[in-house]
Amino acid sequence: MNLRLRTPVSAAVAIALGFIVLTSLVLPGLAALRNQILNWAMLLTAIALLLGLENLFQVHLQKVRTGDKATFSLILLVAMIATFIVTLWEGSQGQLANWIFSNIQLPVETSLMAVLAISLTLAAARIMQQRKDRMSLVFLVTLFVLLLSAGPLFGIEFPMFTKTIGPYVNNFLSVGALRGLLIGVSLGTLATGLRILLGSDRPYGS
Amino acid sequence: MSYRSGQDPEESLPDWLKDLRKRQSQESSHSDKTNKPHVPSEQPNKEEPSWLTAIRQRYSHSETKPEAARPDKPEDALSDTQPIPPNRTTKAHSESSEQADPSPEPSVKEPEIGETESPQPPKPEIPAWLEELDQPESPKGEEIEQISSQIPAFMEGTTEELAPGELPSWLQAMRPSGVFPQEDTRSSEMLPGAQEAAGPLAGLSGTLPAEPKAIQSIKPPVYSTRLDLTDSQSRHVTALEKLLNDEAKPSDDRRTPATLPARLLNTLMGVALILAVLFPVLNQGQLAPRPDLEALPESKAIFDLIEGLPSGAPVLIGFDLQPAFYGEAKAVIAAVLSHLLEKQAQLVFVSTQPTGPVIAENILHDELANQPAVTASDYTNLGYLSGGMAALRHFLNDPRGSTVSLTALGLNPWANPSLESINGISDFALVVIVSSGAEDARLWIEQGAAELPSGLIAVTSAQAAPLLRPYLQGNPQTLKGLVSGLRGAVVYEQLRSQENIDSRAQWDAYSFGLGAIVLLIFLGGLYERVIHLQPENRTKRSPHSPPEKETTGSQRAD
Repeated sequence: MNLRLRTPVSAAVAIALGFIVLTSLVLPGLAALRNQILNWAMLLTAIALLLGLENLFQVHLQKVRTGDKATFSLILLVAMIATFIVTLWEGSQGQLANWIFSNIQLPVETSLMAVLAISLTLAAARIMQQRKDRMSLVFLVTLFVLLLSAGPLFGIEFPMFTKTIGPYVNNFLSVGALRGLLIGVSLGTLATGLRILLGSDRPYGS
Repeated sequence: MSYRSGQDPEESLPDWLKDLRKRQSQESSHSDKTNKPHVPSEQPNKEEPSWLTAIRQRYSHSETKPEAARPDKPEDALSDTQPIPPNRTTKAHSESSEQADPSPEPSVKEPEIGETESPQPPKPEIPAWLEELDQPESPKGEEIEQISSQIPAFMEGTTEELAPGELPSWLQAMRPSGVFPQEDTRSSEMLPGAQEAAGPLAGLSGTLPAEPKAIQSIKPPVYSTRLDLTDSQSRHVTALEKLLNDEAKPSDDRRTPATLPARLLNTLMGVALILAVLFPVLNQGQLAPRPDLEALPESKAIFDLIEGLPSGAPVLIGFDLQPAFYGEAKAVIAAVLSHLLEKQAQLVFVSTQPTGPVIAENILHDELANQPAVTASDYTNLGYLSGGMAALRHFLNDPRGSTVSLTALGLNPWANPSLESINGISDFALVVIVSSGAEDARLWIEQGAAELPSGLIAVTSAQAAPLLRPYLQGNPQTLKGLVSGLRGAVVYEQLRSQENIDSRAQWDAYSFGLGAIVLLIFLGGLYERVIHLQPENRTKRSPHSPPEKETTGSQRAD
């Protein structure tokens, strides 16, 4: 196919499928066609996941060949191949595949989250050294209020925070700000959908 | 030229030609006397008018001179009719004169343009003696060639006979003045003698110019595009440019190596946090009080919904938990799932995260292994649902038609007799979202809340709770209940009048860890603001000034 035809064709396909899915919410007769289109999207997403895996493999294989941090890339490649073969052989619920996940991936990711908690604590302790301005002070005061209202400190509860200030911040200040954020996200999503349907925005290809 | 320079050409002529020349010179002198040019008679013609006769008499004398000065050779006369450019004439003539004759260049006056229309000279008549002489003494072909090669092309003394042409006064009066330019108006590069200045033909003359000036493009004028801006607009433009330039610049990723005191301080803070968390776990003294039930009414809503489920009701669980939040969320997930299993609900798991099905299996077998439904595997794990939002939309429209990982393996999960009644998403008695982030829960709420008459409930990590509260407090309420984090787990266990030892130990550790964090932050801020007052810190700085470079522990000690 000519390269010049690729963009109009892809735009036409995307716009047509978008209109079908959109109008199917109003016209029940198009529900079967909509479900078929969404099923295609699911299959394409699974294929894209495999392509991403292949790309990751190629990148680290190239690093092993060039010697750029080859040790870590080699470990990644070996782990990737082993896990892929085991999961393909036993299935995702297999005994060995489950052991790999429970004893390697799960502890590693949980430990990273624990390290993140310590790092954030250190950063908060030094915030007044890094940024000595009004917003840093506001951030620090808000952090103290939320931490004090999150639970008892060393087994000692502060009712003023846990029963008065904490619920007020969570149920009014936080909800008000997040509602504004969600409305903005919704409007942005609506605008993005319209731009794609009208063909002015083509995230599927230039 | 066949003769050499310095040799008299007359001496090399053959004898017959010398005789011929001598005779020709005698005949020419005789013919000059007998064949004078036609001079109009001063006597007026009888048929002519008097005024024409007067004109003839007036110009009769002057017209004789050009004819007398007319060159004998016709090619010379023709050459005068051609316009000769100045540089070409001088150059070409100088070259020919240098080769042919070293004598000084004769002064040749350029003919006037008006002379081109002068009448042609009459054809000279060949005398009879010459015809008679040529016939018997005509040389052969070889001799002719030899003679022609010996005759010089340019005879010495011929230029002396050329006299400058003179125009009659009446003709000069008729000449237009100022019409013809005095000099050749052609550009220098168009002249035949001009040399090429550039290109592969550079240095050669007589070539067509590669880029004549006539076709050279003129550089278009540059118009000023400067806008007339006010000072305020200029400041805004400058600010915008600075903003965009700073955005394009990569952030300075300089890593300041921490010195030994700084690393020691960081290590001490980490150790303090770990000790604070480990102390209640090792002590098991149940030091931290449990939160009040009224503090989380949304947890009470979930409890009431599950309590109202009939026995054996199908419950869909969207399990979108990521492994990093497994440690935090497993307590609250286990609390809600155990409640559902005790109500003998038919659990159906599906996940939009690749790791979701495996984590669900881990929680069921690690935390709820004592439940009969788990030991009997009386639940359904549909697996991974690839495709994100589109896949979720499809699943909510047609659960049986969706391609999940279990159906991709060739299995039919819907063959379970407990799921025969499920044809759509609304056939589930309850939908529970188990999520570690707000985005996954938001997808379920926005895509499925309208199609679920029984509503949705969410079991999340603590970080997702603030973003889900707007759905919880909305009208209509799209999220029927929410329980999140370790605090939610402890509250839910209280609601069920149960106390899990593990969750209680976690709650104590959470309490001590929270206290340690608050203390460290407070001490850190106090150290920076009160104790550690450096001289530069007392100077007032602009709030928009860049942050100071991070000082190390040794610098602070100084």
